[in-house]
Amino acid sequence: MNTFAQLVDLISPRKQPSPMSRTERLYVAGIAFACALACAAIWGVAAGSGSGSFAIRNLASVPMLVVVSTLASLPLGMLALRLTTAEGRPSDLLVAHSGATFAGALTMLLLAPLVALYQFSSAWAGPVVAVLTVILAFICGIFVFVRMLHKLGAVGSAIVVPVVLLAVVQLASLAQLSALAPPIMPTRTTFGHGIDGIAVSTEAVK
Amino acid sequence: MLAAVVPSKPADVARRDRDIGGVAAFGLFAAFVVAMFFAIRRLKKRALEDRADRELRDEIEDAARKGSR
Repeated sequence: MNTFAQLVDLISPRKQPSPMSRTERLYVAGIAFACALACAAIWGVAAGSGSGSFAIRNLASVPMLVVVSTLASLPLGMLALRLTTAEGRPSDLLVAHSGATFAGALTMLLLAPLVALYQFSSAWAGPVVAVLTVILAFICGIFVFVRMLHKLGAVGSAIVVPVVLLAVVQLASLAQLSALAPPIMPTRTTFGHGIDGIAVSTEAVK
Repeated sequence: MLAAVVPSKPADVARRDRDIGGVAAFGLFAAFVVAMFFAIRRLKKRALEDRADRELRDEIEDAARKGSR
């Protein structure tokens, strides 16, 4: 079974050749999440490449952020899906979320050389480029998430509440976890200070 | 305001707590990765069986369709 090709088919706009059983979908979701963790770890090495100890520590801390933020948001999204719509299955949400996490992490992986280059060469542009790649990956992930839910048969308006809730909770937990976790880069960004840093910078802008 | 009321921890205690927290978090993460590895291995076996069943069913249906013609 060519699982990776199946996974890429699932996140692409192409139609699936044959419907998968529940076990097959869960297997593909597991592989997608494992690949996403590996991609995130490699991005972590690139983000910490300015300093050796950061790069090694990021091998564990970046995937850990992905896992904990997923554990904080996915059960809530599944409950919201169960409570708000009769058609969608929670396993669809699980598969779509894993696929979206993989797509986002793959985006980060492909941008990792750029992040490493800027981290090596510029003290102020490096963290900015790293944060921008994360934002880009998050947007890409949300886009793939919605498309995968449509592909798996979830209907339009019914998935709005679970998708919005899941994305907001994941973003909120990721922002706060990055403040709690050891720093990913030698300099902490606004997001690295959590909600306090974001509030202070918002006040400064005002 | 809270900072004025709640006394902060001494630096060495805060550092020790952070270290313990870090080790515990890493341990939990490692346990999660190992559990995920075994879950994927088990799912792979069942997914292969499902796929073989589906392919066999498709072949039988195809043969039946050809036979009925």
